[in-house]
Amino acid sequence: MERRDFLRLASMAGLGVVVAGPFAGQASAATPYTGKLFLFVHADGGWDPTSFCDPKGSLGASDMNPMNEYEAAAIESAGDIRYAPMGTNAAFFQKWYNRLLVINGIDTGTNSHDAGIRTTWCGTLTEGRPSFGALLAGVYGPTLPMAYISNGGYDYTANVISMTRVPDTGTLARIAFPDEINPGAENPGRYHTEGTIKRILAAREARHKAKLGQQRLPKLREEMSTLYASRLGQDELKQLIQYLPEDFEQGPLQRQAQVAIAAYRAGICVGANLSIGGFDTHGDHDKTHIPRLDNLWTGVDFIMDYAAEQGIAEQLVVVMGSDFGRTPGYNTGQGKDHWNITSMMMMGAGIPGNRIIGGTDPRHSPLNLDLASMKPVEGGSGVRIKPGHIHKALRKLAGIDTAEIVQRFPMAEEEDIPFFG
Amino acid sequence: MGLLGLAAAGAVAAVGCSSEAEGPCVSDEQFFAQNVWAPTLSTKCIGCHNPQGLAAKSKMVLKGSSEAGFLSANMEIFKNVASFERDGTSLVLLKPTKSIAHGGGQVITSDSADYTALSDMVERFKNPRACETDANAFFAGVQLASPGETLRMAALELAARLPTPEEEAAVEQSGMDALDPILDRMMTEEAFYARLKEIYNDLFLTDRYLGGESATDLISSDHYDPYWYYGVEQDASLIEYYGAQSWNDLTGKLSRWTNVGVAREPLELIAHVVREDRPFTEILTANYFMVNPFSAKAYGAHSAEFKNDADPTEFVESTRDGFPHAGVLTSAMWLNRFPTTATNRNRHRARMVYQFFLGTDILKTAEQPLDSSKITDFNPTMNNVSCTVCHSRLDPIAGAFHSFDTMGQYDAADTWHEDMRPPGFGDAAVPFEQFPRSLQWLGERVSSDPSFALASVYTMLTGLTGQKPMLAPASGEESFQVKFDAYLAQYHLLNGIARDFTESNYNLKTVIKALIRSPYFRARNYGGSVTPDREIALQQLDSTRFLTPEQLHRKVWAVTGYPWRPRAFEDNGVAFDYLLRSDVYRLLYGGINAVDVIQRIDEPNGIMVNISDRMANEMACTSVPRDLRLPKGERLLFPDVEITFEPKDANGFDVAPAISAIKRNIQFLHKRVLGESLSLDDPEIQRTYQLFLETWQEGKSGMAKADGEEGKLPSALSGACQVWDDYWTRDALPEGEELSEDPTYTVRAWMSVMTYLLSDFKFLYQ
Repeated sequence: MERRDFLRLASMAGLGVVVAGPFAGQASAATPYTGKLFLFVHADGGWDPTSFCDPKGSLGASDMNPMNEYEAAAIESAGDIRYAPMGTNAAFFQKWYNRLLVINGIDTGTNSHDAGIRTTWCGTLTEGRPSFGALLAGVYGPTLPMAYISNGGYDYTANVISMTRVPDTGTLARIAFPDEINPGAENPGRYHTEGTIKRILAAREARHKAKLGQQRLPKLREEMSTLYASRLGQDELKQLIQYLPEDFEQGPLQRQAQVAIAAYRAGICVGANLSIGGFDTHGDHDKTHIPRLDNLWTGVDFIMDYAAEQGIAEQLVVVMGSDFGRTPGYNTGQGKDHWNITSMMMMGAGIPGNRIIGGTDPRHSPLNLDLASMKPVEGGSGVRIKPGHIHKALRKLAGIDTAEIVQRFPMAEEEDIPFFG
Repeated sequence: MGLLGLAAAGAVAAVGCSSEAEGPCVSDEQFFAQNVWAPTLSTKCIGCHNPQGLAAKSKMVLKGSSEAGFLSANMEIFKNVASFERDGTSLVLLKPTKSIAHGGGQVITSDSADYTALSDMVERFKNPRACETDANAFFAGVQLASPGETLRMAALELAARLPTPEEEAAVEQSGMDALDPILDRMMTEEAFYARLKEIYNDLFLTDRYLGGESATDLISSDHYDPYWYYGVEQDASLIEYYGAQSWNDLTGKLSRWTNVGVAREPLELIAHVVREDRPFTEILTANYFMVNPFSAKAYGAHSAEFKNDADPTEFVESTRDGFPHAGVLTSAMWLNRFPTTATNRNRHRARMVYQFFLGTDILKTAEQPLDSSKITDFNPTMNNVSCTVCHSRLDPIAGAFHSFDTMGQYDAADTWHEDMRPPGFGDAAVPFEQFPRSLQWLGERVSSDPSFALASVYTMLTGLTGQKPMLAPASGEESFQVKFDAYLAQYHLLNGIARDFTESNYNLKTVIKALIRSPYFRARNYGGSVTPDREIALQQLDSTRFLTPEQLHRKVWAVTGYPWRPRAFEDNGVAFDYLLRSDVYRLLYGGINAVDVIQRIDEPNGIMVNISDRMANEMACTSVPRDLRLPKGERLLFPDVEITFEPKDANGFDVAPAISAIKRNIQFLHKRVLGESLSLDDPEIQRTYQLFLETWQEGKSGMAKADGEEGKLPSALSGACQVWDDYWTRDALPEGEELSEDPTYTVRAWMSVMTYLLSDFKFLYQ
């Protein structure tokens, strides 16, 4: 049962009915989650695909308006995947091309940051739609305490799940064990006896039920139910402690991933937004953008290796995206501005590797995709790839496309593009 | 704009209105919104009649619902077009029926309901109705917080305290009539200004510069002396003068206080304008900026006069030589927080002006699909309709920032780009001779635009209730009419408040008082039947908010008498407040750091509820023993009981006087902690008493067990809860005044009650 339904039911029927009814299991304790872990890596600010997975290059000294500073002839390949000869691209693509799916020529339909982030991660420009991560967590972990962790990017939940920020590891024990005076100590001590804690919880639940029964304003009922539902996963949070590493990595993506993977191993996390910033390079593009890409590759490389080390490589899905792309060529400040055409990259469980889908012309305008051959085509035939197409496919991959909660937020795109085979 | 008023519920009669037999009078504005905009203009016209539509060059270019006050603006636009006639018939009737040439062809027929409504509207333009919009009718059946409850919520929100007995008595006697003067007094308290700055920091995010020398670093050392404190000659008397402990400590303090003075400049301006009851428009027109004694030295503002030049919290007006101050717009912090680049050309700053001061997210007007492959024009931001939709409005405002570089430094001689629209606002351009003071010119125009008042109302609505202004439903959306009616109710109410705000000469306190009286702050329940449509409509009343970490911190302190810190006190002026520190719980509890975490989380998750549980446990442990050991007259929590008050005697018989006192104290705690006024026989009192009783019984039984026996409980309190010193001074308590033993187990029973109450919905939410 999804969280929204759970809340609505709790709100409409009163908690007692919920606890005693067919949803008693969810009301009393959440089941540890063991499905796929989705990590959404957001490159904040709008990345430049021509600097990595959709390389164009310059035509040499005669090129008065080069797409990139490197020459087109210098473009390199790893398997079937072409990449720009910049920064640490080679190391990343050579290592991971076999597991990497690249989708080029995606038309986000906007060059506004907010709208771009939204459409990349929820599949539509329309406001008020939940992110893919929120939908996933809403379907698979409505009562898990860290079902959807967000470190940024687009994390609007539309109330299908409650989003969680990543806790600092130093405070985590105190949060996970709120009844203990000194968590982690040999004799942590308690503020109340176990009997008293149970008594407090029982009184709290009885009062909640009574007050909910008296309340008729829908938003207030919903908020009372939200607080109640949030408390259902309190005990599960304790599991997280045992999976956290002794030492955390320094890079932001690495740290974010370590917590998300620990939470997943504890059975309390379904998906997480990871975020790395600095891609909005309106000035001096190459000098500032490429180091950001290097950080991104270092982070994703770590995530893949770390997942294997933790024994969850087979369950992990990594989706990489950004607000949009960057304009063809350089502006007067050697920067690149906003461009609505972009790329996304994916790796992990169920994602076919060494594959490129979609394409763009030499000035990074999108080419339509012929659905029969799955090749880019010139002219008006075929389909222009939109984020909505990708989200339709991701929903299927995750097995949530038929869930009622997901169907409530349909995609406008009619075509089903078999990105994942 | 500002035409829509809020009438008292049921007030209908006015000259020119329909008779009672025809039903309640519908104002022209309401008629336009419900009968013209919703069914016709928003569905059949705006597709072409918008700034980038096929009819963009016509006289009727309508504004989208993302713009503040769009209904009033569109009514004026429509009214203007309706005034043109051919053979006595208005163009707004001739065009859509294609009775004359219409680029969009025939859109409606002359026998349709749309036509009748348009025709009625034209007639209303000629003979306006005198009645005002009854915004209250929508809220029929909504039960509001009582005057006493409203007072408590307002006191916690505005003054970070509970109401005084005098305030409670005044409200009990005179109801809501007594509220405004009390609110006026609360809005003179310093806590109110802290809250106001917090609300505006949620927009400006300038507190990102509060740490270290982050703000000082942004001041140009070519023009000023930002690090003046490193040049102060050692003088022992200064250590004492500034309350420091050593020379190093003094340098640290001067550095910190200078940085705070610089960083807080725009927020202190907001507070100053409101504190002095100046027109709120001054936040954009002030020909001065704010300094404290230390930032004054950094800026070389030597003429600034202070009551106490050692007080970092004292801010006064000052000016920078040759600098065209325009309130927040020229604030170095604001300009740095929203920087520009060579190619962005101040457009981001212009967008923020729209968002903060005109209530409009300009990018929403461009959120329709954009096809870059069709943008082939030379200089598309000037010439391509996909771009001009925003840029025609953004770029003139951006131009007004031309004299300020990315660091906010001023260059009077700076010119503007010839390939962009000239600096200005709307249709007006900055006169050439005023180029060096373009932002002053802009500040005057933006602050006098009707949308400025509405934007201020929006900001305070979000600040006081946590709600953002509703978005108008999109045409074709499910349950459109119900949602539109709900939207319209809020639109009318907020526009009415904006109108009163303008008429008060922009006194922001009028907005705050009006919002506190409104259903958006006070709705507590609903008395009517909740039909499916009514359920949808009532969704907008989100008057209970999950407290922010800052609000919860203040409420904990106000209610228990102690802040949530590790065992109290401040060390050298620095407090370790759990909910305020970003390295502890502030961010996890949904707060922001104004750096990279800039969106609050407004509903609890598993981590947040665990944090609130820890708070409830720790604060029960801190406050209960400390309060109980005080003389009765000094207690905040336990005026009716003593530690010796046990509900049963040694033989298990009820001790009636003790039980009575315990229940009275529970009644008192429900009022103090949760704001509930309950009778002694209320089931909630009994529920809480049962918790106390059973905990006490468990404790007595556990203490009676033999050493080593399972369930054996000590007679002493846990070490963390024992009281050995004064909380604030840390001085050891005189012998006999400590509290470490709990032989009756009542202290721990009361702790269970406090944990229960402090973790309740009514405590964690407003």
